Amino acid sequence: MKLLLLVFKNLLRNKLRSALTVLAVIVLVAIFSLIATVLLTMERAMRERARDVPVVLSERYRFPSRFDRRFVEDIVSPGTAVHTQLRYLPGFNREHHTIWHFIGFTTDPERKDKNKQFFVIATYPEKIPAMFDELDQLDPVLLEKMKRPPKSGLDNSGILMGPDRMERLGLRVGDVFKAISISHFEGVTRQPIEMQLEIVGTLPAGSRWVQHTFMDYAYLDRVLKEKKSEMDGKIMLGWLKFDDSDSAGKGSAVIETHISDIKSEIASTAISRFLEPYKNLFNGVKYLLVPAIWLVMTLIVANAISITVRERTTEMAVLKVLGFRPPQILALVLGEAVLLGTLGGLFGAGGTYFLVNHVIGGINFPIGFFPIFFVPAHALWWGPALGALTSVLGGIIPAWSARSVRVSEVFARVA
Amino acid sequence: MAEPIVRVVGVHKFFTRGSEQIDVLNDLNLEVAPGEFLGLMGPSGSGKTTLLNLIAGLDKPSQGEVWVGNQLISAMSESQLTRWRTRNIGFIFQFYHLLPVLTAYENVELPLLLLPMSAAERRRQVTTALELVGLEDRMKHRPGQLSGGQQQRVGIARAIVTDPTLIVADEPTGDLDARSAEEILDLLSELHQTLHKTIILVTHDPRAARRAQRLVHLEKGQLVEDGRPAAAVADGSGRPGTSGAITEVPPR
Repeated sequence: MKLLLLVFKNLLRNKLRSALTVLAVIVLVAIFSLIATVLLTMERAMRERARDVPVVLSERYRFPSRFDRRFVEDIVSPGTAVHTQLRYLPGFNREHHTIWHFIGFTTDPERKDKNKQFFVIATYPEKIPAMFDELDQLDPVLLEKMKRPPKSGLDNSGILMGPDRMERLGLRVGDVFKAISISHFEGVTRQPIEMQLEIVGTLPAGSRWVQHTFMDYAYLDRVLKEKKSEMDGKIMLGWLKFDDSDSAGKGSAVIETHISDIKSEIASTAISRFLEPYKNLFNGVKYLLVPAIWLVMTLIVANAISITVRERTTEMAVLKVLGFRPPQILALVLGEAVLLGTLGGLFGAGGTYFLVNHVIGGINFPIGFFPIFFVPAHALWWGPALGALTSVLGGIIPAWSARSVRVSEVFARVA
Repeated sequence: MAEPIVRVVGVHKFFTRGSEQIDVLNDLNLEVAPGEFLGLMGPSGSGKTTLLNLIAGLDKPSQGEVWVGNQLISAMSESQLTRWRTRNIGFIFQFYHLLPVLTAYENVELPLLLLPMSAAERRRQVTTALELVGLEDRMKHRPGQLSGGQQQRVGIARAIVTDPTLIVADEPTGDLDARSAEEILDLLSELHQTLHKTIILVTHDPRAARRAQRLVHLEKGQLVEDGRPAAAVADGSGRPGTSGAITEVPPR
C-alpha cells in the first residue's frame, strides 16, 4: 500500500508530463473505442451461430425491402405448399416467426426538429422475447400492456422504448402522446398518418435496443387499413428462427423455391452480404489503423516512462542501496506506467461511452443493417485493460533499465 | 582484540575502459572492529569510495574476499546482497539522496517497508530514529522544505532505522556549511558513543577525520597509513601520524 502511494506520488512529481501522457492515452483509447465499437458490432452480427439461427426474409428485387405480409403467413400456415415442406425440417418451428414493419415518427407538430424523430418497429408483441437477443427476459406484463395500455385505453397503442431514446425525446414511461409519421401517409389526402402512443415500458438498458422502439403491429395494421395507406398489408422484413444452421440453410432454399420474390438468408449471411463492399475498408482499419494506434500509444507511454527513469537514475540506485530488489524497482516503474495507462484507458473509454451513448446518441455511420452504433458497456473494462496492457508493453524497457541500474556506476558519476 | 566485524582480505579491484585496465585497489587488507569509528582518507581517485562500496556490498572485488560479520559478502549474488544490505548496512550519502516526493517520515520509513513488521512497529522505529537525529518536529516536511543539515539528519535517520550492523558514510559533510557539518559530525559521534555503532566514514574533511577513532589512508589503491587521527589532523596533511603505527584496532 505504501509502495503504491510512492508510485502515485512519483506521478505527481511532474504533473504536466503525467497529465499529457494520460491525455494522449485518453485520445487514443477513445479513437480505439470508436473503431472497435463499429468493428465488434459488425463482426458479432456477421458471426454465424450453430443454434437458434435467425433467418431474415426480404424482398428480392427492391431496396429497402417491402413485401406482402401474406408471404410470411404462407410460410407458417399449415396446409400451404411451402409450409408442408418446411414442417419436415427438424429445426423448423412455425411458432418461431415474426414480422417487422418500420415506421418513422416525430413528436414535433412542425415535423422539423430532427431530435424529435424516432423509428418504430411494428411487430407481434408476444414474439419479441423468443425472436431477439437480449429481449428474452422481457417482462410478459409489458407485452400485455402493449395490447392494452393502462392509461390511454386505446387497444394495441402501447409501445416499448429504449431508455436512451426516451431520454433524448424527453419522454417517460406512462406518457401518452401524439406521433406524426414522417414516412407513412394517408392514401387519399397524402397527409401524414398520426397515431396516439403510450409508453408502457422500457427496453433493457445497456442492450443494443437502447435506442429502439417496438409497437404492436395490430395497431399499425388497423390504422393503415383505415387510412387506406399504400403501406397497408406490407412489411419490410420477416424473421424465422431455426434450431440449427443446417435446417436454416435448407429452410431458406425451400422458401426461395416456393416464393421467388423473397430472399431468405441466415441473418449473419445477409449482413455479410451488405457489408461486402466495405470489406477492404474494414480490413484496413482493423489490420493497419488499429495496430498503428496501439503502437503510437505504446511509444507515448514508453517515451514518458523513459524520461522519468532517466531523470531518476540516482533515485533508483538509492532504492537499491536501501535494499529494494531489482524486481521491486521494476514493479515500481511499471506501476507508474500502468497507473497512467489505466487512468487514460478508463477516462478514454468511459468518456467515449458517455459521450457517444448519452450525449451524441450513437455513432451515425449508416451501413447495411446498422444505422447507428453504440459503444458497448464492456468498453468500460476493456478500455482500462487496454491502457494497462499498453503501458506494460511501453514501460517494460524503461523499467528493465531502471532495475538494471548499477549502483556503483551511478554514484561514481554523481561524485 | 574482538573478532573484527569487517575483514577485507587481499582485495584487488580493477575497472576496464576499452582494452585498458584501471587498477583501483591493489591487494588491500583491512579489519574493522565492532563498534569502531573508522575514517578513510586519501586523495581523489585513491579508491576510498570503491572500498566503501565493496564493504557495503554495492560492488564486488575483482579478487579477494570481503567479510562482514561472519558472512562472505563478496561471494553473494546480486539479490542476496540486496537482501543483506536491508538489514546490515546503513548508508549515508554526500548529497543525502532523499526522495523529494516523500516526507522526512516517509523517507526514513522506506527501508522498513521491505522488512516484515507491523505498521505500529514501523511507526515506533521511524519516530525513534527521527528523535535520535532531533527532527521529530520535521516529520511531515519534504526534503525541499528542509535545510541541507536537516536533510542529512534525515539521511542518517534512514541509515540507522533498521538498526544495521554497519553504518557507512561517504563524505557526509561534503555538501554542508561548516556549522551544519559540525552538527552532523556531532550526531555521528553520538551514535557511535551511545549506540556503539560501527561507522566507516570516507572523508576529505580534517574536521570529520578528527572524530574518527582510527584513520586509514589510501593512496593509489593501497593502504599506506593506519593509525590514530590526532596527528593527521594536527599537521593538516590529512594523513595520520608517521609514527609507523600501522595497526590495530583502537581501544574501545
